[in-house]
Amino acid sequence: MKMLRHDLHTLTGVYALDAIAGSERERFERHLQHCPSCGNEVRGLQETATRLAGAVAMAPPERMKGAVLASVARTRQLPPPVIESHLRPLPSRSITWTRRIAIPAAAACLAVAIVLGVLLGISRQQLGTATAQQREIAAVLAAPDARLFREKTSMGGVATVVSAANLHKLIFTSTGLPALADAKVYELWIMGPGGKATRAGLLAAIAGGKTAPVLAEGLAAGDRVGVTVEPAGGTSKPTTTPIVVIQPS
Amino acid sequence: MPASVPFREPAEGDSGPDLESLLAHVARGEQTAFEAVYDQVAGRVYGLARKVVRDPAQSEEVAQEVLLEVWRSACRFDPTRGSAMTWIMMIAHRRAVDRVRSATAETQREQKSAASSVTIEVDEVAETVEANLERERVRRCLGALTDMQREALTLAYYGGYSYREVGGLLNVALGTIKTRIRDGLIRMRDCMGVLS
Repeated sequence: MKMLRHDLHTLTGVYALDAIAGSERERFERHLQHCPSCGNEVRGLQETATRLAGAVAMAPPERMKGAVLASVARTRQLPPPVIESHLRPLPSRSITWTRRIAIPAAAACLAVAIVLGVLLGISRQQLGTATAQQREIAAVLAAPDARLFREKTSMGGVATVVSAANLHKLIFTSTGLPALADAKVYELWIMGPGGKATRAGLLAAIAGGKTAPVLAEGLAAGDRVGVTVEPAGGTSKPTTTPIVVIQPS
Repeated sequence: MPASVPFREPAEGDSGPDLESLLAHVARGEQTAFEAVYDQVAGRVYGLARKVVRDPAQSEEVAQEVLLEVWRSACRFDPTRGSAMTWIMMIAHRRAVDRVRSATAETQREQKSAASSVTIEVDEVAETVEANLERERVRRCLGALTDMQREALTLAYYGGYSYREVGGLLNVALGTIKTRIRDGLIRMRDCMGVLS
């Protein structure tokens, strides 16, 4: 069966979704090598498929991590593809490709998504059972001026703040923070321009290296949000250097 | 350093620049870097496996295979061909699809359960804010597709069907299915702000 070029080009979508198999897949892959515009389209559609995957993320069973790390410790890695890299020098501009798309995409989409999105999900699915805190969180996410900030911490992991300036509230959450000894805890602070720090809550660990969302009030213009490691129970003022500071404005 | 962390607008999605550099460390055999990769991607890998494979025990096996594959072939990741998260999720989807396609010979999956995958389930479990943001954006963009595009796209991706199988399920010509999936994905891409 001979395929027209046009037919081959329409396979970018099914190829990006792995919905094509066998010899047809191989033929399309050969075509890709000679069709830069198909390659670009496939990459964009594969990134799109990744978002579809992100939408169904689910915490894996706790035991899985130990099992995977144990297999990793006894599995030899593949050698790097030395020869290929000599034959095919990398185009210098493409290194930053993912970065170039990520930032403007975020700026364009974020506000809209927050406003239209999260409240709908929570209200439709969970309103019946939502706790007061969940409703407050939903209100922050749905605020017209809600903004999202993300920053790596000095202990690893990423801290996320969603602020709603007009409500003077923020939500803090994190992924990948290392577990602390029993006598220690992560404490959240709102830090005023003058250096005064107000307690904003303790971070509670939940499954998968994440911390449960903390809702904090009293956010004023110019405030920054920080996290320190403190003795269990928390303290009234920070006693250590913050592991992350975010200015949510 | 913490007090003077440079402020910037964050990139959307979990696939920030750090996953790329983590993978470079993983390629050098650093298990601690792998653990950090695990923390960033395990939920997505497992969630996608559950969506496609459905059976929890088999999904867990698939997710473990995928993560081990990330460890083994980290040196093959080529940042010029897409983001690290996409590289990992492509491995995940391929493995999940392999699992269900080899299983269909033994047990015929019910069409009904695949069709119900058209709607995205929302976990009652406390979700992180960012998972919520992503989920809702996908929900909104899926909602902007035509019913026929959405059906074809979700059967192919979440259902793990080949486009030929999707054509059979929906009783639609193959050329139409190809176009429908491509048009739907392009619309999703533009709606989600992924630039190509």
